[in-house]
Amino acid sequence: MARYVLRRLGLTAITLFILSIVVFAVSAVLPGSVGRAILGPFADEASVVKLNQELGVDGPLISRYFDWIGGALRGDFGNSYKFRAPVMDFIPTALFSSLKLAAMTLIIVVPLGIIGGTYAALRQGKAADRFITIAGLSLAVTPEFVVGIVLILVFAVKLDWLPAGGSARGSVVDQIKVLILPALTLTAVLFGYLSRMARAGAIEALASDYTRTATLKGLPRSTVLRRHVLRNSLLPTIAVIASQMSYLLGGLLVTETLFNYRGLGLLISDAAGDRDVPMLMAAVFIVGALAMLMTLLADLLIAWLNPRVRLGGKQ
Amino acid sequence: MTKKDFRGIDSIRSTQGPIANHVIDEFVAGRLSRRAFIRRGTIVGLSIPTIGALLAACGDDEPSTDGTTGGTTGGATDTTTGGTTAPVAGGTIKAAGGAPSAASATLDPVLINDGAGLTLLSQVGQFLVVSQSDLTLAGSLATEWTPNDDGSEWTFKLNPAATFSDGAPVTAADVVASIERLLNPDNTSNSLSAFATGKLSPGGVTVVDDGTVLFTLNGPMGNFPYIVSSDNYNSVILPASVGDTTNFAADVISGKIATSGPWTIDSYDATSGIKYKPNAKYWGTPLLLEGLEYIFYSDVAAQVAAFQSGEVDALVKFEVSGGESLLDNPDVTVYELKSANHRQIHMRTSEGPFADKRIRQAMAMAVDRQTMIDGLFQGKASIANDTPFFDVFPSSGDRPASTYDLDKAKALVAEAGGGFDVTLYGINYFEGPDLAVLLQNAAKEIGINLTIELRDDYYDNNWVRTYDPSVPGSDIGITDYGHRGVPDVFLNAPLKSFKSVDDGAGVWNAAEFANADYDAAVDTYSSSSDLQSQKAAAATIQSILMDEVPMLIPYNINYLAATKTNVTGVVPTAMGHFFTDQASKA
Repeated sequence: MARYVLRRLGLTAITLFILSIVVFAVSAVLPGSVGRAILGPFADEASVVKLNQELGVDGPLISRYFDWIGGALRGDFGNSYKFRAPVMDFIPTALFSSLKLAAMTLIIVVPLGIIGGTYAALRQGKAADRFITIAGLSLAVTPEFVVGIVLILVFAVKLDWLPAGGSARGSVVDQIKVLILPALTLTAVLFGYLSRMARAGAIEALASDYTRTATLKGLPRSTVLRRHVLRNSLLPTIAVIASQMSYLLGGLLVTETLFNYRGLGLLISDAAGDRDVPMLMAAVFIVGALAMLMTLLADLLIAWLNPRVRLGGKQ
Repeated sequence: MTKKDFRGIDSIRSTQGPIANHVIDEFVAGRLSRRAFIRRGTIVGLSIPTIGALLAACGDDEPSTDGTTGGTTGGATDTTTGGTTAPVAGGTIKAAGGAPSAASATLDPVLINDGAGLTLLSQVGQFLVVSQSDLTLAGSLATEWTPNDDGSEWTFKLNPAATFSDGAPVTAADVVASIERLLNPDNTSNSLSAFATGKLSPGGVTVVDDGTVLFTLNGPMGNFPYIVSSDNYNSVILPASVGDTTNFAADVISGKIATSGPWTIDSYDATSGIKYKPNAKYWGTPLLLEGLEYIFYSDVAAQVAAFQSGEVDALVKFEVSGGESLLDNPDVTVYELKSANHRQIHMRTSEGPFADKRIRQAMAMAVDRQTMIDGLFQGKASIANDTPFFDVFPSSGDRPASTYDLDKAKALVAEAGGGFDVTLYGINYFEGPDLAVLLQNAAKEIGINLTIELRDDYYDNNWVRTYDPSVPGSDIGITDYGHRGVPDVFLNAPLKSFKSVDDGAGVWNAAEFANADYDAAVDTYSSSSDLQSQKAAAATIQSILMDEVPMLIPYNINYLAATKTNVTGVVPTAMGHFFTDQASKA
């Protein structure tokens, strides 16, 4: 297991290095002048030139990359062009907000997806199976924007039960109230995907020899499901959840915009719009790094659950 | 009028300069409407009591009606829906608006370049004069402003009661320091182009005495007070002791920078919003509210949802697209203000397919403006005639209408050698994409095939070549322009012949229009201090522009703001101000 972990850590480090180059390159080739984007189209040209010089955006790419990556390794991602303050004054807050929303979403969607998928597998081909499958698929293909608007209109505007948006601050109850509608919006997006993976895994596990053996040896059905079906059917589901983490942390632009929820998605979007390159690079890099970390953790969890993975099929 | 009335008018005339007297004479002679007299009178520094006395002498007792001059729900010029409630002390208003731009993020008065930043800054900072919702000027830190005989010098008398939040009086030295900071090219102020239009250069502002400031211009400028009014994002007055304004919001919170407005900043998170608390030493009428909060939104739909669900009490600005549900809502007061906010579709006159005037004229005839307004704004815009003389400006005079005539347009294209293919560049926000499609359809009718290319870097590569001759610019492109209280900037930067970046004239001239007659007419307009001369110059300018058609300006868009009906007394302006000094919430 230790060797497996070391190998995975090495791969993660290489991927992070490549990610840093990609993030820097993409930010560097964004069209237009940074100074013009910050000062606006009607700003005096001399002002634009002066600002570009002050920001150092007219220097050679290579030296700018090494300056940036050197600072990043020390935890210094530079100053935001927009806020004129260290980007790390802003990213942790946004990241924490995104983590809260991701956690709330996972708390709702993971049990719902696994239970729904497993139940559909148990009722394979019947009305319940079809309902769960079709409902999940329909929700998954409905744009987040539409789902979110409907939820806002019903629960915030008409019923006045929950806030239409805002940041998760204040008491735990207040925070949960703010998080429910965006989390339900994301649940709608993820439920179909997750339940289908859980359903497929459960159907495979139910048809396996070990499940049949467990049933024939007289174990109660609940024990068979818990110990043999769920444990094995969860492997692909865990992989799916891990693969969605980068989306949940940094890709929630539509949901965060609609609910005015200040997470990393909105921060990245605003930074791109404002040509706030240091903020953009740092946020994207951190999201990428976290996504890789989550993938690594998922891989380790899968390896722990399934020895064939960590042993590389040698036995 | 009776002899007594004439004696009263003569008495007033004897205290005014020649420019103000000309305005008075024009009104008495019936050549100025009542509305135009009020607007023009405020520009040349006639006080409201003086204007009232003249109106009374001429048989009209009310000095002001168009919209609001502060404090009442009548921030709207015409349309308000829903009820109003009597003012109540206490409470906090929460308003939704966009986040400030990158340049405006620290609320640095030198750099602020957008309406969102201005909304926030103008709660704490004050201007010499305020350009109101109806484009009349009202005193703020200044009580009087008068030109010399030819309008090349303007003297502003300061309000002796005005103080900063640290208790110090607002003096002429503070005004000089504040305006000179903006004029200093090293500070890269956002208002350099406005001051270039206003003919004010470094060293042009001097102290006469503690309560009097003199602006000496490079030449006559009839609309100069607008250049140092709230029409100019950056011209708030700060104590002379203030050096660095880079971290303005933080320095106001810490008390390092004192301001004179009704509010001071309590807390500010540049990513999510700002909270204000009353300025304990405010020199004006005491506030009714206990607090004011702005919450930043990136999306109109989110703002509208928050407003409808009651999480915010006001929308600083909204668009018809996305805000339709508010327009007929009985629980909502909608403020609809005429504005000069517009789009310019330049057509390059110096080379390429639009160099032939007949093609440009054909484009103007192919555009069905009313359909555009109905489709894009549900009628909440006005037809413009391809000139910056919008219906909102009193100096526009009689505005000739553009003609929609497809047959004539087709004939002109045929005369010029037939249709062609060309790329239409432009902005990729506001109604830009929809406008591009409408233009494409209109052009197709006359045989011109437009390929639409809306780009985020439009302003870098496809707008003007004045800053960098090596960029391609564009044969035709859509540019957005915000509101101004007077048309001077629109007449100068995008249309006058370009000489050099330092000169300022023509720096935004994407059409590369160069016409000596036009330049002369604009110079005449800008230097005119009386409305009749301005109208005469405006007629010449409109005639030239409608013949040469260097750009299409199909419409000017109304500004929309909204509050819940339990909120009264807010005064929005088309610039983006959202004055709340006499606002209340029931």
